[in-house]
This record gives sequence, structure tokens and C-alpha cells, in this order.
Amino acid sequence: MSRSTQLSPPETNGDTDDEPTAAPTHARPPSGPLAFWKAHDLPILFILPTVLLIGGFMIFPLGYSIVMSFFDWNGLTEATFTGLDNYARLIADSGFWGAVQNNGLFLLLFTFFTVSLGFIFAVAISRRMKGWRIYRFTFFIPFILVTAVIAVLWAQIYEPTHGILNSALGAIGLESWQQLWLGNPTLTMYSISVIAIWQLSGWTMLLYLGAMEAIDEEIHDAATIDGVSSWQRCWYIIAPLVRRMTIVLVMLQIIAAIKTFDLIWVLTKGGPFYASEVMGTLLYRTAFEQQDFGYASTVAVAMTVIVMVSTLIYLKFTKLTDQE
Amino acid sequence: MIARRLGLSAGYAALIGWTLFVAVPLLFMFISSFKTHGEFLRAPLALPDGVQLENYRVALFESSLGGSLINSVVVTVAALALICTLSMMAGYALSRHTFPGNKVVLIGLVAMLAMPVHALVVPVYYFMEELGMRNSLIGLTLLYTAFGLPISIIIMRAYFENLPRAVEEAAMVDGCGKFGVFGHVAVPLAKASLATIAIINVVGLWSEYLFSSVLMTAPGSRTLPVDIAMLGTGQGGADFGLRFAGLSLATIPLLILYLVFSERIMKGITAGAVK
Repeated sequence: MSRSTQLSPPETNGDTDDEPTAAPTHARPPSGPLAFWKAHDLPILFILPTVLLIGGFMIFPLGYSIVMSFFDWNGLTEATFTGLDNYARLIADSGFWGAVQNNGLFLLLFTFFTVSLGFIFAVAISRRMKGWRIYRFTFFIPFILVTAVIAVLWAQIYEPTHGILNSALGAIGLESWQQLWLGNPTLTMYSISVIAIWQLSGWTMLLYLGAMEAIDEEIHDAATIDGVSSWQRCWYIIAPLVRRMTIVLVMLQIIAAIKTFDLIWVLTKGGPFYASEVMGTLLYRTAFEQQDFGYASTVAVAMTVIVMVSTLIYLKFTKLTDQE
Repeated sequence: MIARRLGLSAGYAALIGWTLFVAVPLLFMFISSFKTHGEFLRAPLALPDGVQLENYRVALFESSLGGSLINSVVVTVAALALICTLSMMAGYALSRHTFPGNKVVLIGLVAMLAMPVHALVVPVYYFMEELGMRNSLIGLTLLYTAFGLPISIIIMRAYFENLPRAVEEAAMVDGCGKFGVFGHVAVPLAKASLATIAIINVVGLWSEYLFSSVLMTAPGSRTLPVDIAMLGTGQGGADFGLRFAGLSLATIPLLILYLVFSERIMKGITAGAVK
């Protein structure tokens, strides 16, 4: 790392480099670009790569997206400026609203079940029920799997003729329960939500666990002496004490649900008949299957606004609870 | 007393039920990876006739999966190394040095945390195409590094903020330059938190699908998640044994890490998300 010192201008490299910090006389105010560089060479060199990467791959594309959302563009011919046409189209597009609706159903199921199951599991594990290490270890495994792997694996489980779910139902004599889990438009969003809940309940469990293990053991001792039942302990003691974590998790899950893409794209590509289309798959389809880059940018901007507004509300919420 | 009993058994039922719910699909995947295509079709739920590694051999050496696995390892390791190095540098600079632009950079980083990167896929695709970085592992690595930096820098900066400055000041008194202080004092102190940075980024890097599927389309440049997805759903003729071996191959590296470092990983996830 000391090699980086050579990057500062050689003519001033000698005595002044170490002096101002070591010697007590750091009074002389620097002036001119050279002095500015001398004073700030480390932060400039250390932050520059980050600024370039984030600027190039995030901020520039974001600006580009916003600009392109006002154009009609197929990626090949000249883009033509169409003003707010894309936005008018978005508002009138039943495909977009269908995606928002599916996203909303997914969001409700995913957020409610991952957070509440995470809470229940964390309570049980933090009370050190027998085998707690095994449960904690196992529940978290799905989080470390590749989402595409989960999608292909569950496609195999839901597969109608030789998938393990229908085979197992057949084996125990429940043929009437067998379903086209992904092929039935009314079921598909629920089937997909189950997978997402399977994947992430262990993660919410782990975060809740961190919050619960910070609770003072004396509070639990006092509750035990007072003869508090386990239900009361959950609702009146643990839940209020981890309220901040609940808010954090709910908001993080809402944002994750709005952004969801991989799982659904690999499983159903938004089908059948757009029954599992969400904003992410709509964006992908519009851009890379229909080559409609202008309109895809409009969908992207809408998605960004929705996520950013949710995040702002979230930050506001956590600030509020911080002040309590 | 009866209520407590009931609560306790309901608790165990939930815990054991969920353990099975998590474990059965995974066991199904690993067991099926040892079966031939015919064995799987005959009895998808039965145990294999014997443990044969033929599917893994085919997956690694005779299909595209072996190459994709290597691509994924290269991109994940390179992006992790870059994220760790750059976030340590930027986090240190933001915490220890008063630079006029610090505030702007910090606000920008927090804003980028809220950014849904999926929404950037169209312009990123065009940007990479223009730069000739499509189908380039270097391009993908730089892109992933950019996406991982905001959260990592914010965690690193918070880490340095909580670190006493006494050692660094002592080093300066001893005549160590500012770059020397970073290299000899700050980097060794930051090593502990690098594990957290690596842990919160590794799963996302290893799993990333959207950008890879759009950018890495040339044969031989694909990463594992994209290749896995192609193996999977649509293609009716795909060999089941091979498919499950592919899924297992994509799972095993992180599963081994998790088996070895589970306590550390669980701590890292908790520390990373609460920031």
C-alpha cells in the first residue's frame, strides 16, 4: 500500500509529506490546486474508483433510462421523441396493471408469511427448544441457494405428471388434490409465493433471532416468576421488544417483493396467460423479447419510483422509531 | 400447565414440520442426481439403484456446465476481491478524511441503496454493448462490483467510525505517512469486517441471473445460474439425472462454505442487515 505514496507529485513528496501530521505546526492554510491535491490525495484516490464504477453502472444508466422513457426506440433505428406518450400508454396498459396486481398479491403473501414464520421460528429457537441448533442451521439453507436452482428444483416438484408433489399425493390416496400447480392461472401466483416463502423464512428467522437474543434475560426471568404463558410472552413481551426489527423486515420484504424477477422468469416466464406476470418480468419481456426499449424504460422508471418511495417511507419509519 | 404443554408441542410441530419442508426438496435434488434418466422416470421418489457419479462427470466435462461453473467462480471471486478492496478504501476515506465531496458521495451511496438495479437492465445492456464488454467476464465483474459497493462501503465506514483512532494517531506520531497508516494500521484492523462484507455479497454474486442472462449470451461466456435455468424448465428432452447433477453442482460450493463457517455466516448476515 505504501507504493501509492509515489502517486503524489514528486516535487513536494520529500519533507512536507509526513511533517504536517507529525509536527505540531499544522497552521499554514494550504492554497492552490497543488495544495488541495496534497491535502486530499488519499480520499480522492480512494473514492475515485467507486465514483467511476457507480457513476458508470448505476447513475448514468438511471439518467439514460429516464431520458429513454420519453422516446420510442427499438434499439436499431433512430429513437424518436414522443413526449409523455409512453407514460400515457403505461397508465392505459392493462398488462402493466395486471403485473402490479400480481406483484401486490405476491407482496402480501411473501411479506406476511416470511415475517410471521420468521418470528415464530425465532421465538422457539431463542427459547432454546431441544434441537435448536439443527433448526437454525436447516432453516437458513434455502437462503444460500441460487434462485435459478430453486426455480428448476421446484418446477420438478410441481411438475403435473411425475413431479414429487402430485406423485406423493397420489401415493397417499389424495388424487383429487392433485393440481396443475403452475399451469393453473388461479393457482400459479400462490404456488410461486410458497417457494419464495420457503427460500426466505430462514433469513427473517435469523434476523429476528439476533434481535431476540439481545433481550435482557432478566425480563424473561421476571415473566416466568409472574407465571406468564408462552402466548402472552410472545405477544406482550417479545413482540414489542423486537418491533423495530419487524418494521425493518416488513419494509425490506416489500422492496424485495416489488423487485422479484429470477424465480418467476425461470419458473413460468410470467405465464400461463400472464397470470404470474410481475413488473420485473414485464420489463424484461418488453425490452428483450419485444425490443421496445423506450416503453421498457418507462416501466423501469415506474418500478424505480415505486421502490424509492417505499424505501423513503421505510427510512422515515425507522427514524421515527429511533427517536422513541 | 396444559396450555404450556400445548404451546410447546405446537412449537415442536412447527419446527420439525419446517425442517422437513426445507430438507425434503434438497434431499430429493441430491438423491436424484445419482440416478439415471430412466431410473428417475420409473420412480421419481425411490432411492437410486446405486451411487453413480456418471451424471456429475457428464455435467462437468461433457456439457456447458463445467465452463459455466468456472466462469461463475471467476466472477464471484474477482468481484468479491474488488468489493472488499474498494469498500475498505472508500469507507476509510469517508470516515477518516474530511474531503469536501464526502457528503455528496455518502448521500449518493445511500440513494443507491434504494435503487432497484433490475430497472437498469436496458441502459446497462446498451452501455456494455457500446463499450464492447458484453460476453466479457471483466465487464460483468465490474458491473457486479458497482452493485455491491454501496452497502459494503456504508458498512465499512460505520466500522471505521466505531474504531478508536488512537493506534492510527500513534502511527502518525511515529512518522508513518497517511498511506502508510492505511496500509499498516487500518487494513489489518479492518480484516475482521471484511468477512461480513464477503458474506453479505457472496450469495447475490453467485446467484445473479438477470444481468448475466442479458449480457453473457455467447456460448462459453454464460454463468452457472443462466446455464442452470436453460437446463431446467422448458426443454422437454433434457436428461433428468444431468439436470439434478447440475443443480447440485451449483449448490455444493456455497453449501460447503456454510457447513464450515455457519456460525460466522449467520453472524455476518445479522450484522450486515441491521445497518
